[in-house]
Amino acid sequence: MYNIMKKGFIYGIIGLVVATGFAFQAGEIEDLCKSKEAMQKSKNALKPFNYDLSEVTEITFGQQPQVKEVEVPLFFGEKYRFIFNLEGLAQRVDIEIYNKKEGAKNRELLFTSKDKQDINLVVFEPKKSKKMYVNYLIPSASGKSTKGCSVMVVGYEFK
Amino acid sequence: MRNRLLTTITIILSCGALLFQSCGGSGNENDNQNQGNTDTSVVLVQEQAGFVLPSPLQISYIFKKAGLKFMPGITNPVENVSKYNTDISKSLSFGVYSADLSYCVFSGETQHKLDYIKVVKQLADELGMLNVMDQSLVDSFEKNVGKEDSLVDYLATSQERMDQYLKENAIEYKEVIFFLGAWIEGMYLGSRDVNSNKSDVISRLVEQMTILDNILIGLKQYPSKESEIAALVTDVEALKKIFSNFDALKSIEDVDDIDFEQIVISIEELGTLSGKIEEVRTKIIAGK
Repeated sequence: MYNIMKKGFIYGIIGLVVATGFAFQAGEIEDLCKSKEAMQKSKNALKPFNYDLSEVTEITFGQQPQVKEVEVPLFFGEKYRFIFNLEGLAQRVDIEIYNKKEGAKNRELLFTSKDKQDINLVVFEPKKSKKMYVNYLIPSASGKSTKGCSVMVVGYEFK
Repeated sequence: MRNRLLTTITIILSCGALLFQSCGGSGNENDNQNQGNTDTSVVLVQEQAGFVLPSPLQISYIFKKAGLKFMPGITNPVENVSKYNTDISKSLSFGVYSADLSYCVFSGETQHKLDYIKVVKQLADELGMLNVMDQSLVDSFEKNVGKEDSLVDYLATSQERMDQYLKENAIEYKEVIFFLGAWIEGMYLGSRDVNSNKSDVISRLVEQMTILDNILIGLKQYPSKESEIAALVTDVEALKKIFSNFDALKSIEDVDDIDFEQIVISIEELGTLSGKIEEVRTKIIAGK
């Protein structure tokens, strides 16, 4: 009887410890993404351009720096405005925009946010409209591990 | 006996403490390491770039600006809506009717606009997207049916709502089906007007073909492997083949190097493209 009680007690403690571990793990990565608010602010900054598309890119700061690339279709002769809302990120993530995809020959940098001090809201209006490749430059985690999101909204000029 | 029990508990708690510590893997020790390797460690680049698709409204606007003229009777009749019984056929026709609505907004008659807004709302509701085109938006649309700017605003609002709905419900993968329906219909409407040999419309048609790669990726990643999806993949691959066989593109290595303002394709090539577009569109609007 005593042995059964003892086993039950030990299993109970094991369960408690494992559950605590999982709970700690689940709560450890804080998610700072507030995509609805970020989307609204971005849409406000888009005016007077007409909403075309949007994308929420989820970003987790890991042990290594990362690059995430998103292809955006733009059509010749049109005028576009890109809005990036990066408020939902614990660390600075820079944006670079290229004319070709990662690894392509003669790839040219069209825009970088690296020279901007405030990058909560980044605005870019391309001079020439053609398919573009947005790169998010994500550094490795510099503190407590966090995740968040970048919100991109693209609009076109409607005359 | 009691000592053994206490020892066991101590060991378990120690393991728990280790587990606790390792779960907090981004603690100080790791953080310092991470800070140190920001610029020197290998940068992880995703294998396949993500992509976004344009709105059907923008595609219609681009064709309109290129000189596309409204031709009554070529859009998908609203009566066809009763033919669409599967989730895929409803989603495709939601796209088709959205493109028809945009086409009518830019150049159609009042009654066409009113008919198509109703059918788009009906399909959005049937697909569970109740907020995408709610009654107040439809009422505003009907009230301002003569004001193109207002109608464009309403359609942009419904696009925003749809993007938000798909994101919130983690079903973004469905967008490719809506988009494909709209894209095929937009291309069909555009190709019907090229008989007048408008070079701007033709270059717009060719430019649109660059979206096919991403449509194909979206279809292949679609979680459900219904036969309808397989048939769409086959059709899109056939369209892609037509595009890559255009003489003007054969010598170009990278599609991003194409200058679409200057591109010229032959009448035969245009005929092959519009024939295939019409064939795919006929299947879609038949609900097959």
